[in-house]
Amino acid sequence: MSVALAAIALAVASPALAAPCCSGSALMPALITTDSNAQLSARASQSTIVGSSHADGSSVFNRDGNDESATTFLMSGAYALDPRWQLHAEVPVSRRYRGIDATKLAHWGAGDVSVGTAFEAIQELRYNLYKPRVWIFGDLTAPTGRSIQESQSVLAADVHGRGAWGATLGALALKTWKSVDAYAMAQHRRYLPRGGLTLGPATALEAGAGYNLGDYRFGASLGPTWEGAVAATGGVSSTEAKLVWTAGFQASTVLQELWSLTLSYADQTLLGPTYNSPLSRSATLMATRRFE
Amino acid sequence: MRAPVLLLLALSWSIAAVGCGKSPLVSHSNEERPQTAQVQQQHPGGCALSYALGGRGACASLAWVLGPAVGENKLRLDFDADVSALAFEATAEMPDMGHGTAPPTITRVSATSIEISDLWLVMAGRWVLHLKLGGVDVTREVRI
Repeated sequence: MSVALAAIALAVASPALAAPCCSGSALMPALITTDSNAQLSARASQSTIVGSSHADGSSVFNRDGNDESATTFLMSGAYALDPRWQLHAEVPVSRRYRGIDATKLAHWGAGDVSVGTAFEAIQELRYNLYKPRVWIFGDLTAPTGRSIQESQSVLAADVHGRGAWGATLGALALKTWKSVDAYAMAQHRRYLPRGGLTLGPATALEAGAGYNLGDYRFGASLGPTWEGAVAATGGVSSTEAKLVWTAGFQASTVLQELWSLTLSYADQTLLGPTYNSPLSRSATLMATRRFE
Repeated sequence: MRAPVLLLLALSWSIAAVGCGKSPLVSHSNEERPQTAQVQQQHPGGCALSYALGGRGACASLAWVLGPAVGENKLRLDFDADVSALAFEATAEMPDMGHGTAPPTITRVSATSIEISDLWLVMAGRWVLHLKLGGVDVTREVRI
């Protein structure tokens, strides 16, 4: 199996549409981009909110004693129905920690579960120098995690989800040239109203490239996530959209053909402009087992 | 030969992206530590909050006993009249993000004074306080 294909499958499993604010599930689906029949992935990530950007574009970094972090474990699986169609699902569980000086709160909880399907719209039956492989995917996210509107914590440490059903439509294009690979991803999500609350639509773009050296791949990615304002009746509406740029760096390896391991780092403080959003840094370790 | 060219293109694209935007890492301020046990009289002797209550009005001064800052906040309202018979509610919201807060603790210190404690503002930014007396909602904006 191509190291690039396996590694990219891991690399793009980034929290592209995870809410810029207050948790959310990792929404780039666990696509099978190899010739496997199925795959299972386990992911552990540690993220820290280092500050926030305001609506005017200015950014403030948190002082010592104002701490917010999340440890997330995510199990995902994908199953190929035939050479073009596949199904996938993701189940996240997280521990959120919030501390302000002497007040420290931590909470374990389930995140938003998602299921979806993908279709390989453009296959690569014969190698072409320019034509990429392209998958179209659709996902449904269930509000199984507690949202900030349902929080019972003064510091909102018990927030693990978005609180509304979401539907995502996206596409992933992937291309390899010998030891170099590149991908581009776009996805758009809309939420159903729930309890007088309508979350703003979210759009994420991401592009990345990698270099393969033997059994290892080293990659970098970059992309913006935009989320519209929240509309609420009888509650608190947000008046401003959110924008954040996520830069990512990945190192991957393939072990014994069927196992893949990826270590990645994502940083939302490197690039701007950013508006009206918390800014996080996260490290993720992900293991994937393929089944042929 | 193709690989270095593609890598160079990717690098150029990244540099361009950096140049086009305002990096939070390069351009940011640091959150300040909250002041504690220091009364900040915002309108000493004046009328910071004016309530139109039917035929009469009430005037109050507003003082931050703790904060305003990310974390726990405490503030005190001193009225120029007896308000003990009037219902009082306090909430805070962050309109840009759509955040609210847990209900704070409201203590009637005297017939003319109300203290609002356990008001947790969870992140930096623009917050709007709703200080509702006798059904009249008066708002004050604070940036932390």
